[in-house]
Amino acid sequence: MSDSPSSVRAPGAPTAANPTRPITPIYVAVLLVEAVVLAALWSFSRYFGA
Amino acid sequence: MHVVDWFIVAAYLLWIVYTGLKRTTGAGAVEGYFLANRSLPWWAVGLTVMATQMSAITLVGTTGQGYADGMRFVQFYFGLPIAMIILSLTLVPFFYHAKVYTAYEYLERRFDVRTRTLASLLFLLSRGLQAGVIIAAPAVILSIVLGFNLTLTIMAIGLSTTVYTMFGGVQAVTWTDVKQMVVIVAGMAAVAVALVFGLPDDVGIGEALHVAGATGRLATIDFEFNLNETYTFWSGLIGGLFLMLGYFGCDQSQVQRYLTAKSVDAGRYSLLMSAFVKIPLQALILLIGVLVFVFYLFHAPPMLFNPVHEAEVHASSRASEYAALDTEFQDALAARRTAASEAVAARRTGNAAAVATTEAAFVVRQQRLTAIRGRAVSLVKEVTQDDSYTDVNYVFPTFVTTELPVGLVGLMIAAILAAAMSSIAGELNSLSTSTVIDIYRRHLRADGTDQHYLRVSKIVTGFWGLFASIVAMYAANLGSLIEVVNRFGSFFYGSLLGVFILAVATRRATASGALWGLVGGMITVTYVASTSSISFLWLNVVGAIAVVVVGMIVSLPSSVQKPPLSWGQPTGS
Repeated sequence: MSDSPSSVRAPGAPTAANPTRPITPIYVAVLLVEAVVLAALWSFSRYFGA
Repeated sequence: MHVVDWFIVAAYLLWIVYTGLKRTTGAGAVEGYFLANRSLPWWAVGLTVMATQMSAITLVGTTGQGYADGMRFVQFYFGLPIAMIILSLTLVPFFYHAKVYTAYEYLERRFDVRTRTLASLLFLLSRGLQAGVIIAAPAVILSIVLGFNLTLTIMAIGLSTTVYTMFGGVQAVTWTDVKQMVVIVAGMAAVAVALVFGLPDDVGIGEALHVAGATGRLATIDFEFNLNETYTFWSGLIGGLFLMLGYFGCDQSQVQRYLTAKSVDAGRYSLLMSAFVKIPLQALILLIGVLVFVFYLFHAPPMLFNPVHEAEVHASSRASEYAALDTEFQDALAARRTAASEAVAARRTGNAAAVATTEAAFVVRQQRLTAIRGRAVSLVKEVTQDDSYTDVNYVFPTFVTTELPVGLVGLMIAAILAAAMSSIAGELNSLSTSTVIDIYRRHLRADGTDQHYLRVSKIVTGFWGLFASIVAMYAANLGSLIEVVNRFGSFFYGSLLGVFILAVATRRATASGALWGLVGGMITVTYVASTSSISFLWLNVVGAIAVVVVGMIVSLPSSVQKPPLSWGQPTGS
């Protein structure tokens, strides 16, 4: 490896021959579930801690 | 411990070692031994990711934290789901398509061998010592609470794990982890049920939780922005995000888990499993700690949970002082129990004024009890000359061994061992991989046959198992060493994350930029940690930012204007 900026993209980066499949709905589900879990924790805390 | 419990623990150990030794499919070649020929299903990899992260000290320490401090520790994990999404979009496909064995091998492909070797040595040093701590912590607790011989306990945990990891490789690690996660979850569920049924007949679980809530133990989210406080929403979300990115993205003990998945998507799903499950699971473990607190409102707990230190005080010249404190503690305990019962009764009547009055009275009783316990802890510190003394990690094992019925004790001890062994197996496997791939094959012998590397890999796994067990024997007597080793991790995760950000987020970073960025990041973190009181979670943010800034500055002279990498879209060849 030379000490110069990489002349090609990072190894393993997505290419036309090696595309990555987006799994956007699952990412959205993760964020929704986290929001619901945080809301549930906050409600739990408010209900029993009040 | 009852003979039935002994039988359960022995059966568990035999079952796990047998499973590990039986699962040697594909372990006849290096790729099979380290990466299971990239063939494992996402759910098994997902469970092994979780099992590797959950060590015995997580299980025991988290429940103790719930007992003593409540549920606010759950905020530590708030950044994890977002970290998993970022890693699924970035490093997972990059690592997988680059066909690497280790995260550090990737750094040579992108930068140079110096960056790879430094990162790998940092990992080996940090994780090698930490593997010893992971063995020592539960071994010390179990030997004190159950009266086990410490050396034998260390051997039972360390060497049994080494045997199956050494012969079975990553297949053994993964499939034993799957079973060990089942043991852990089953044990915790059984304890939760036992705790609910252990309440007095006239106390409902809801009423008991309201009493615990009056002490603030059920407070879960703190929106205050305070850099010195570890457990706040913002520390968990931002500092925790960087920590989790560093741990799951740059630590070989986790990277190797998802490199065994049979496809990029399987690797992503395995991480996203944690994204869905981790926060609820940690909340449940903390809630079990709170339930132990609730249980001890109506049953007598010991004043201190570490019998060895207690015995030392009894044998010292200050024994009478301790006995007087104990008498005071028993009186305060009786008063707290009465106050707790009155608070429960008031809530049952539905009279809001009575509830407020009785809960306020209960809180005063609880504070008195806490103050007496604090004085007892101070006394122990003075007598034993151990300033870092805390008995929080002994709460749950003491509860398990003194309050649970026969059979459940054995199951929970097996669960604690499972948590320890699953983490150690992942560590040994990854330590061996990095040693052989990043050091031995890269620097010492590049022309060996696959069989040669396989033989070396097994020997190196055995070496790390032995090394970790020896470190555990020393670490068991050096409380401060454990803290040093744990802090070392937070010094290096953020910096390593910075190097990976340079690797995949920009084309401008050079090899020298990455190397000096890493060095600069670690110096910055050391300086900030020693001159400020900011929480260690924020050190990960500081480290990552420092590496990127230093790395980009050093790269400037030879930088060429190029557009940054596109994450999700193909960029052409």
